[in-house]
Amino acid sequence: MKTETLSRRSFLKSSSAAGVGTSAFMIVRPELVRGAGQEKLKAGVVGCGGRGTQAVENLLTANENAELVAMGDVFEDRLERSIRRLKESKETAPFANRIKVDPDHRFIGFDAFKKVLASDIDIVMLCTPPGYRPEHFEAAIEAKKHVFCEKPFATDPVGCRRFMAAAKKSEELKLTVKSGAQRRSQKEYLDALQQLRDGKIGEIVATCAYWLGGPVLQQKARDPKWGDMEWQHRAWYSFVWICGDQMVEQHLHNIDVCNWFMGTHPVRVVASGGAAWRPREEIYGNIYDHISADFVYPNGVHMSSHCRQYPKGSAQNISELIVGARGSFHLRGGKTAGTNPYVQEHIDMVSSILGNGPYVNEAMAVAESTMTCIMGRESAYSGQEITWEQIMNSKLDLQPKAFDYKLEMGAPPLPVPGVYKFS
Amino acid sequence: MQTRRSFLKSAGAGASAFTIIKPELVRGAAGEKLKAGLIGVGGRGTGAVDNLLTGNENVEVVAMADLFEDHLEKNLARLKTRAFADRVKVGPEQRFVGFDAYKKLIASDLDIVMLCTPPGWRPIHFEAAIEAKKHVFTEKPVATDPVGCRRFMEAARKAEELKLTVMSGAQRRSSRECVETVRKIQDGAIGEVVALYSNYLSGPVMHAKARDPKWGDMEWEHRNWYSFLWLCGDQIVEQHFHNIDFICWVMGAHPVRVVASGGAAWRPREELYGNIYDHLSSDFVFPNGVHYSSTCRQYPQGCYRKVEDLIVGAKGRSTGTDLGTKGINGQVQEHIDMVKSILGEGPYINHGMAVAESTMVAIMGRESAYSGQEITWEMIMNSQQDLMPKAFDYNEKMEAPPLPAPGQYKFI
Repeated sequence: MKTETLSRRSFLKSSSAAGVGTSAFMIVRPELVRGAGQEKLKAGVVGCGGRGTQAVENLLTANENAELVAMGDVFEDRLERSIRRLKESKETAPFANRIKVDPDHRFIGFDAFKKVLASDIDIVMLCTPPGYRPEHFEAAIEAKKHVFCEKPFATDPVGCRRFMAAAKKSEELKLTVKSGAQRRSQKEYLDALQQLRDGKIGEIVATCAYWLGGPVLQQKARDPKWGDMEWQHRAWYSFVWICGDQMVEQHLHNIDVCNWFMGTHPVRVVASGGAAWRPREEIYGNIYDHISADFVYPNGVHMSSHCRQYPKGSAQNISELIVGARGSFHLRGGKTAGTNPYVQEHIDMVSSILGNGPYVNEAMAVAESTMTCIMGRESAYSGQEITWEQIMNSKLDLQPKAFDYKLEMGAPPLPVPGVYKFS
Repeated sequence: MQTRRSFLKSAGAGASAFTIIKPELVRGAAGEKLKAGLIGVGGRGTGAVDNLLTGNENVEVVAMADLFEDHLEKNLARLKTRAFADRVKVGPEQRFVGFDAYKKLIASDLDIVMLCTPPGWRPIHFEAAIEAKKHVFTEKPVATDPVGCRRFMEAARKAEELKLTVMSGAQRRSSRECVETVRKIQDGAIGEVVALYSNYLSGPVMHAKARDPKWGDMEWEHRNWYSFLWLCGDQIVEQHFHNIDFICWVMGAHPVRVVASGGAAWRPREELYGNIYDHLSSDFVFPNGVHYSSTCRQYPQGCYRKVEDLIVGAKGRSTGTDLGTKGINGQVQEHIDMVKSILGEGPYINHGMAVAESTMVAIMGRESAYSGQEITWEMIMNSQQDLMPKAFDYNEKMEAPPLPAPGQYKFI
């Protein structure tokens, strides 16, 4: 067999079939991998909404040697809209010829992710709402795919631990896992981290994380022909099981930065929050519109976190503050002097896959940040202090036990401290 | 014998040249006891009288004022059972009831006025007490809105000119362990302060279980005052003030801006619960850029509770008490210090302006949470918000404004 034709995927298959000890697994040499020569790396995307579509654009902008060959979504209209955008818009023209998703590789339904994974692909991009992430990631690692994994990685502790178990396996298999926590690929953050390690600001003595933004409402109203399941998917940001609440879905970015700079996760948290302006109406579901959390790291350093989605006219702030004994960094995601981090992360991912750059696997780190966010949310909902040990042992499992558009599922009420039970 | 009060009257002309009064000119130095009157005979007012008389042998209470006769009589009877009962000398003609009771009390022959009503009233009462040249023990906070707080500040300036003693109910300022700790922090014990934290995580304060149908709106809101913004100021002002004042004291400054969030997470939208939040978290920033993260909440039983501060320095950290020696109860100590200041036996004390600034900081945080806006010191110092009713009458119809919703609530 000529090495040029041995794909990464079949290489993995044969090496595991041969019973090669996974611990002895070495970074794959470029010549063994698709994408190094003429043959392009093949990617499939699961979740073709705004973020999934954009992630595909980022991947194909970042890498000449990647192409998209499979797509999966629960809604045909969303998948078709995504493919139209990718093939027909001016912005995507430079790589429209690398959108090669024939009708046989457009999968619709709750099991679409399985069909994407069964396609001949090297990379799977997991971009659905986060409730699905653990199940999809587990299946992707089972299938030995490299993964671009949108954040957050779960919406509940049971799901997050399921993700963590698969994350461990992905490390053993030396699969590349790049997260959508793009600050990890942004110049300003990497420069600051280097300065921190060089001792420029001394030891970290305090951190603050902020996501003060506006509401995310995907629907203006419920279409009467949508059953509960379809409704909760089409308005997914409003429902805890699928979104995780803002603290998990959005604020993860900032909390992940603090964890990354601290080199660990907090051990306890006391948080408060509620719905200050969100009306108690169906469209607003069962998430809070603000949470503030006081996290404490093992060395006693605090992370003061504030997230909220408030109406127009309210103060906005998306940033992280890293306070050292001799100086501080105020990091703002937005503008960068480097490469667009949403593109850079895909450059880094492909370099890792091809062995052209450092091996990247952010699965466990970002899973820990996800768990940190969930810990904060559960503290706010319950009014209790929540420790890392408690959240790592929590039995909370928000996922539906069956997936069917006809399923009747009312959303649980907005959590009330003193009434809500942390389990 | 020239009393303190009549001395002040005669000296009032040249206020700027006024120096600390010598003990021989003051009632309380010889056999004659200092006379105090209490406005607001609730739980805290009664407690404050207890602290005052426990701390000072040479003081007696001679007048009381309250809106409610039942409150006044019940708490007076309680005080008469205490060891200092012989110094509780409040005859029937010295018990004043009603909206103008404070005026009658201030017009009595006394040296010290104790202001212990719900805080909405404080600016009016304090202004009247300083006008009448009384020494003042003022409970915290000192206002519930910016207009009232500035009115208090104006009177506080006047009190300084008149060298009247103003002691506040911010008892940490008198507590030995706090005083010593703050001094050490300011002397550099933990290095430069780089981050500050406070929590006041406690339970709900409910003064009434239900509304008695015979109570009009005004009586109802007074008897259940914690739930109503104009009287209470919300928890961040009424209770969390303690932490905020302490941190401002440590820093020797007040924050210049704040972004806060809060709401009513468990408080039902029912009349009993009025129009205050049950949680509020603030991100204050001091002039030197140091952040102060503060959270207050009143959550039901079973929820996490703790009242604590943390001052993080470049070279260490402090809880705010851990660098000092434990002394006597700060609430007794403050009354000892107050009387010493009045008699010229100790340093002159006037907390008026400092606690007014801390009150304004708390109001600034509250208004940020209500409006969702960033509020600066300049904005709050120029705010036209005035929550006080324009007339006081038990038959007054008054509807509590709705719970503030960010995006709808307008900061003025």
